[in-house]
Amino acid sequence: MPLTEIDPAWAGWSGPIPQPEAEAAPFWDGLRRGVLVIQRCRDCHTWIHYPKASCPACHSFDLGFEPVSGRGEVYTFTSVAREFSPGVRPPYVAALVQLEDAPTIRLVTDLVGCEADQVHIGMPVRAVFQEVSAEAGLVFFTPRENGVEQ
Amino acid sequence: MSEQIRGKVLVAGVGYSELGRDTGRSEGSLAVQAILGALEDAGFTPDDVDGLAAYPDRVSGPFEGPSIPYVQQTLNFRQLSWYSSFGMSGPAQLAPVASGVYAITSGAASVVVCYRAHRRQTARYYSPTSLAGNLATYTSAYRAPYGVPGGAAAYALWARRFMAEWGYTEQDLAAVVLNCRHHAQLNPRAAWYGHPLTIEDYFAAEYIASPLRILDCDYPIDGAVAVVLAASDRAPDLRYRPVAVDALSHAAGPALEWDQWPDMGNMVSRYVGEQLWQRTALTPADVDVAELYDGFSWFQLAWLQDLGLCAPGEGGDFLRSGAGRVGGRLPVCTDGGQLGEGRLHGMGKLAEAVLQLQGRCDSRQVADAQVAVACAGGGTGATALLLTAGD
Repeated sequence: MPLTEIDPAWAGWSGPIPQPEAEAAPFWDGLRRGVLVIQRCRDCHTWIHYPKASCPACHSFDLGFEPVSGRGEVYTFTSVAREFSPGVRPPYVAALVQLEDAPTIRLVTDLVGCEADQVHIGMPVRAVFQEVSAEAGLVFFTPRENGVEQ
Repeated sequence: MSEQIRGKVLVAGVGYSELGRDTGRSEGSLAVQAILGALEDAGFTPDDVDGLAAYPDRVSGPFEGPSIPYVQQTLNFRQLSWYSSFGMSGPAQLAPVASGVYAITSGAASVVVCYRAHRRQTARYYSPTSLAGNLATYTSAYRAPYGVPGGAAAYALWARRFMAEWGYTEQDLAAVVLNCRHHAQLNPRAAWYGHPLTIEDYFAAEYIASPLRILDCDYPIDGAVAVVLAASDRAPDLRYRPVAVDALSHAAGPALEWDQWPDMGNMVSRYVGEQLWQRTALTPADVDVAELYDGFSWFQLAWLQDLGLCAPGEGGDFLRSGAGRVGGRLPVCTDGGQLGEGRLHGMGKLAEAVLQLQGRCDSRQVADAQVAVACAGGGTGATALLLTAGD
């Protein structure tokens, strides 16, 4: 689900633009297309993030990218009152979200479609996406109760 | 490893530049003042110096300082046999000291100057060079677009999880800040000297990134600190009582990038603390004074419990009881820390510990201080040193 369906007021992107490394291109292209894909070892099935050249668990180079549901829960969060990155305008709620399908993986993200005082550790969330360039998108998360589950 | 260090390396002298919110001076000027002060404190001249180490280096992050070449040429160090600078990827701000210790124990150098000099951070953004042009490259691509490039926003995320797992509250953060501010009233160097703080003042302060208020973030100042390390055979030459390095650790935990750390109920001090006590005959009960890192207030709660200086989860109670004040059971951050004296990137921790063990701290002196711990770092990278009075 694109971000604009959560927040119709969303107009463009003024923050930093990710410059994908070659190893991570499928991750970033997935976010651009509205799909969360995480790197995974084809030999030992370990989930890997950030994308790497080889598997940290078994050192295999046979890696691929697999889609995950985009469901997760808030591991921690902060309500930010200063502009730490150029163009990311406060206030915003930043979070680390732990993925339901790949619980060893956490993503830095912002929470959208909710007020800061509604957020709590363990809150169920799901992914929404924003295309920001020809190569990359960003993944935000919103409370699962917002809108229809995919 | 402790057998290779204990009894072999001394802290011979410490020096501070002028400290202030806005000194109007260059970083080079601050560095040179601190280094000359430290050499005089030790009773050495530039010709005694054969090792030079700096944090931070010029290129690895938003904190920049005068370079090794600048200092070498300005102070006319002609005898260098070992030199290096240390950046944001190393085990934090005391990395040059740890490596200086290794340089001496290995025989690579015999007198090492370690310095940190910086002007007050005035840049609007926490923006490493990888953000130039507002492009987020390499691993900052996963963080900066979400407004969490590092700094207070990142450590607020970690703080909330750490506090939730141990039951710490904002009252406990306040206890850290108030303890530091109390000691700043006893330290004429401190930026907040003459400015006491009440708990009402603390809770009236604005949030930067919840649960961290502006007073939970160390106070940016202009300043430099230098420390001179020497091989123990130089003890007879020193002006003041020698201070010996008993043990040190800069153990890494499971991840060196903060957002990849698997268990934010802990930070790297857990690993550093565990290893430090494996490397010494001393125990936490032997520590007389603890100069604990407080780049953000909650780091101090982690250090207190991870060094075994209080029971896990009880750091706030420990500080509220007065145990962490000069005159209490274990004085903590006797110079006011970076929350009270100002941001000196951990080098101030070592300098104050040395002054305490030398008995030179006037109204904030800890009586009969024989063993001190000094540490710097939080999150994923840190270094801790255990120091003893005498050679």
